[in-house]
Amino acid sequence: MMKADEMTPGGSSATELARTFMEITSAIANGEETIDVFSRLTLKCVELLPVSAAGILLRDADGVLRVIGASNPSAHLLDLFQVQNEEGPCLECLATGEPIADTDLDSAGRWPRFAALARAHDFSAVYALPLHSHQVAVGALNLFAHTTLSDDRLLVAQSLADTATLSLLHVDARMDGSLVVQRIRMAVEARNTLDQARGMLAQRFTIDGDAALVRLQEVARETGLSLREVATAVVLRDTESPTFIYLAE
Amino acid sequence: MANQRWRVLTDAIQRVDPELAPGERLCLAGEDFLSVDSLSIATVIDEVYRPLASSTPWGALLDEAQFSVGDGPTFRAHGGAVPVLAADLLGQVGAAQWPLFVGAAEGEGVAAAFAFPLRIGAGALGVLTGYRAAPGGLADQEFEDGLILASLAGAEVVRALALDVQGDAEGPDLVSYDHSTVHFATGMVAEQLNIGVVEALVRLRAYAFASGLSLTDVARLIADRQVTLEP
Repeated sequence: MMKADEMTPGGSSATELARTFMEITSAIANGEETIDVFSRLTLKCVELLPVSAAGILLRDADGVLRVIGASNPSAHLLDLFQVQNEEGPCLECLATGEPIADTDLDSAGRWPRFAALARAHDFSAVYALPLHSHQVAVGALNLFAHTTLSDDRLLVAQSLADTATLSLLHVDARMDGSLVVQRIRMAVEARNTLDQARGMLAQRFTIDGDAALVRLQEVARETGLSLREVATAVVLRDTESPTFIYLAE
Repeated sequence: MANQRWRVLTDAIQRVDPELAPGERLCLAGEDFLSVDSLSIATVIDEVYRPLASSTPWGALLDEAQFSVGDGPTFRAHGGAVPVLAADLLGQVGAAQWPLFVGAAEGEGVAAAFAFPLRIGAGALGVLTGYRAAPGGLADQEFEDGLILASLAGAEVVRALALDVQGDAEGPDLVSYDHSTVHFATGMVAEQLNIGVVEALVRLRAYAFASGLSLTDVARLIADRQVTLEP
């Protein structure tokens, strides 16, 4: 029996884990939007697990995997997500519905291009854990680590992936497949909006895309608006939105 | 690696007479999948309505009626994030919900309308609407197909807008590209030229066409500040 404050193998205490799940499920219950939930969740992955990057990808209506939330939006990480539309653990995870682990990243292995790219960024283990809705994998939680994860840690990671799925199922009593497809479409367009807003701020303040995202997240915190609402106000140049004042130089 | 349903729909569109405009082919093929009597694409750019395509003149007329009175499912769906589904336009609830449109609906004999907004991020492009003469809602599969057709119709609207800029029907496909980078670059262009994101995306696409590069390549060059579009 583990005491509440005892450290689990990955370094996070049971209390910390419990608090995280409570925080995320209550955010979902309060109607927090999918892109906000996903970015919160990927940051928690990096905090609680021995991984250095995390991202959540969803399969859009056209079958293409789209990154909805990531712990760090750096360009090299986006490339690692992007290439998985051709090969890599996420694609296989979506196809089989099973969790996929690659702890070799052997460039002569199953996905040579992906493995080489991951190794070039010093990663030594990659995981893709399915987001299930009605027995169908609709997306994946993608983790990048410098060490191999223990089974205990993988269990925590899969629980976090399951929690992410809740955000797609919530909102309506009519929890049918079509509704999930619609929630995914909305999350993808919210993500597109966020990228448009990042571009606008990058141009306006001559900053890079990462700094632009940080700026948008700050405004969301200060105004109490969701990330999507802030991004939409920026893109539509809504002078009535409180966002406008925060971003005036 | 396309979704199975996506492929079924794009294959069906491919089978329609290639002499017709792409938007018309989408509407003609899409009708059956949604079990509607008419399917149409309305573009609304800078709040100006323009018909793009319709499988019947009836549907085009119903789109126009909604934008002229400023009411109805299609009018409501524009700029929104979710489809507006009216399974019984002429019933008590429908009549109360669409007070300015219900008269025209009755006159034209339309009983149900399903309107899917077309968008690229925060940029609103218009609406894809299916009309039925008899009341009744969409089945789950019909709804899902409607979402897919709306994605395809959105790409078609951007292509049609780019025609006005580059004067040629050819151009990079808007279906397969690096979304994150393209939308980021679109935002940069919109800010730099002080234009909307829809216009910025059209400009980006036109530049890609003129330079013979892919949309993703042009977006990368813009994001890396190696290319700047002229006003």
